[in-house]
Amino acid sequence: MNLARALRTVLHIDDDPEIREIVALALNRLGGLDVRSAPSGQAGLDLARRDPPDFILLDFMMPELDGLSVLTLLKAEPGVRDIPVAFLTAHADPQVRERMRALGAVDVVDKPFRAVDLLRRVEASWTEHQLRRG
Amino acid sequence: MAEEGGSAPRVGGHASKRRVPAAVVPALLALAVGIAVTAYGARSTAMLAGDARSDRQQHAAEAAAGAYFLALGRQLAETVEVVQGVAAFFEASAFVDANEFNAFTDGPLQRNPTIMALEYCLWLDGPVDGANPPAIWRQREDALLHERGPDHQPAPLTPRPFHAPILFVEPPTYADLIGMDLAFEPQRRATLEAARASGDVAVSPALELVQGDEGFLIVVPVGRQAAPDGVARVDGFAIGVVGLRAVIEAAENNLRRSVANAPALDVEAVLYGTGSTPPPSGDDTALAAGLSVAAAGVPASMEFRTAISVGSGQMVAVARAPNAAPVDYLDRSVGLVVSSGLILTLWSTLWVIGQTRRREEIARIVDARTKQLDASMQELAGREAQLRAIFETAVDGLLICEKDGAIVAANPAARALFAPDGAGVLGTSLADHLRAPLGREDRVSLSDPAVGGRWVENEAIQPDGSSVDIELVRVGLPYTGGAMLDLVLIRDIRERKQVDRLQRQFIAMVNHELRTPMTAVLGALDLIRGGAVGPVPPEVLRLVVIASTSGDRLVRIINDMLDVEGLQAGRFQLVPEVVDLAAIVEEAVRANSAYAAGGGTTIEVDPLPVAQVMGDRGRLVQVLTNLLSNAIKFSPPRGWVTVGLWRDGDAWVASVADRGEGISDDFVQRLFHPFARNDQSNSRRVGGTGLGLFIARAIVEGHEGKLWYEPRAGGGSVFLFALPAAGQLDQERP
Repeated sequence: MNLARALRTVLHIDDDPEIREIVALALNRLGGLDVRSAPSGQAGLDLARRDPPDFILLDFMMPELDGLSVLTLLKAEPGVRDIPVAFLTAHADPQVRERMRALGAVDVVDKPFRAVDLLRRVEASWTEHQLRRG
Repeated sequence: MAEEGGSAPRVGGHASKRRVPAAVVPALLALAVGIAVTAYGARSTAMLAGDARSDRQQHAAEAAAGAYFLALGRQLAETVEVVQGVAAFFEASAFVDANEFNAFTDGPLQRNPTIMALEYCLWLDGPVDGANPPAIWRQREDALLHERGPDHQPAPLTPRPFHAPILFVEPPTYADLIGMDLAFEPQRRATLEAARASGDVAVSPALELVQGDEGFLIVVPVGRQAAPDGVARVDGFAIGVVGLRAVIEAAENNLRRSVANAPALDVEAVLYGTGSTPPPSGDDTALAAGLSVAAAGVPASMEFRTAISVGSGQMVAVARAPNAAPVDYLDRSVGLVVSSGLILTLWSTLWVIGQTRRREEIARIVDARTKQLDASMQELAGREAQLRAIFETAVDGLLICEKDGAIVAANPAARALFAPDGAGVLGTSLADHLRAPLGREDRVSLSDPAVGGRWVENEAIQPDGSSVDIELVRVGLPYTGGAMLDLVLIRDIRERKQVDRLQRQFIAMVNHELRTPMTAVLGALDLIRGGAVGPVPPEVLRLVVIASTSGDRLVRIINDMLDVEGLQAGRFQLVPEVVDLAAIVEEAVRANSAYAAGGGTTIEVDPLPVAQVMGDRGRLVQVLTNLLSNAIKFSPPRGWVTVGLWRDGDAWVASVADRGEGISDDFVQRLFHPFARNDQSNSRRVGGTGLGLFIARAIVEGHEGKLWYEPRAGGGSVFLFALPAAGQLDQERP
């Protein structure tokens, strides 16, 4: 079994365009990752279904479909449920974080973040996920 | 206080200062009654005593009189016997001469001092021959006899060789013969004739003897032969001259000799010859049975009479007792009654006074106590009214419950929370109204200083099943008899919760709104700095670094301010579990190692024991990290920071020490205040948010611990915190 399949594609779902740009820039320029962005939960779901990524970065606070709901929906779909999901959030509430983890998120990253930190966190989560799955 | 002795005291009256009047009336009454009873008793006793005494006296007098009469009778009888003896002497002898007569009468005269003279006289029918006296005469030697002289006046008798007696003759002649002048004494004559007629002893009435005394004659006829016609012929008479007083005296002497109690003879006896009238008694009232009764039941003189037969006649003897002594009020029995009566009177008077005084005393005390009671009751009523007002009008709900939860009292605010539909809550159980069960954490006692901090949130179940957010605390009330009760304070916190919710929402929003742009700012600066978008000229880089650093600081401030907000709202979110302080120390040290290395500072860690506490791991790491970073910040270059951990009683104590400049005295006061800065700071110290220690302390105190500063001996600062060791806290979770 190949434990070290490299991380290549990341789906970033966030309603904030600036954040989308920063994250894409950071992961791409610093990590060489292929980053796709979706501006809403629904769009993100569609994208994930159509072209499942290696990793999903999910914003918590979004209008219409919020992060938790997206996660729930992802975990309910057979094609995408195994994709590791990490939250990006400004929310400090530990109960919410607990909820995130309970729903299956592999990590919760605080906003604001250092670009390098984000990359490292994503890679670490990816590795851990691989290990656990393997 | 009522003035009349015996009536109930009135509440509110004035206490009487004059106690005497109340007792005077009953006392005088008792005294008067006592004296009246005593007087009546004394009088009755005296009367009884008087009666008894007069009875005694009468009996004594009667007895004495009786004795006297007996003695008198005996004496008279003896005297009569003597004269009868003389008569028998003459009857027996045909011829008697003087010597024989003398010899015969010697004895009787000696034995009977009552007889003054004895004589025998003949009965003569014719003239008397002076030369041949037919009778003989004998007189006592000590008797003073008289004769009548030629002038018929009594003159002392001149002794003659032979005395001729008075003859009883008819007609009266021979008046100059000595002796008794029978002729001129009709009483004598009557006596002689009575003797001659009856042939028996006759006694004369009291006479004044020629001798000068009072006396009487006892005449005994001497009959020699009976006549043929049967009538006794009297030849002569034996006559005894008896002194009246002598008879009485002789009787008395005999009596005294024979009676044992001489003083009982307090009687005066008088003898009267037949025919003479005894003089009336001393008092004028009628004599009845010899006793005259004077006024008031006190006998005056007592007289007793009897008749003593002498021969054919009688003599009347009267005995007079002296006046009975008047009723003697000083009689012993009367004295006894009076003294007893007075003593009883006095005692009962005193007793009545005592009783009255006591009753007054009691009444006064009762009155005073009643007034005290009234005052106390008023005060109590006033206080109760106040408390009731507080109870009723309090904004918070107040309940009084028994230990099992049964509600015994509820104020309007409580009723509004539990039963806004107006249903009653009394008698229901508190637990039935609450969503969550009651534990022990919400109960305090009145003396517990933590009353203000023991409120526990719960929900009040409404009649329609919905819930109202409340918080409550139970206060054990002091035991005052009866059941043990709790006071339950309930607060409607819907508004507060609403405010909290809004606040939380707002904060979440603010949080999100602040962080989101910061993410973009920092992210962009980061990318530039990292060269991700191409090479950066040095001046541009410098500016980017400045912006980036400040951006970082801004984020830290945002984080800290969120923490502060959480602390100040009292909703510090702690996730408690058993954690090992040693591990936490190690993690904090690791987190700071790069920072320390950057400044050439060494972190020294003393040997760490396993130190288990109940705590939130992340937050405790935050505390230690903060302390360490401060210590490193304030250490001189190439200095070192020491971390220690040890057990102190029930607590684990951790310390972080640096060898910097220490902290000035006036800054120490503000050390743990938010945004406190020591103004004498160099540029390296600028960079903190000013909230670190404030937050650290709040976290430690949220763990029931203490965080404090001490100056380090030898220079520098030591920050310490103590946390209760795990196992000490299970009773007291906030």
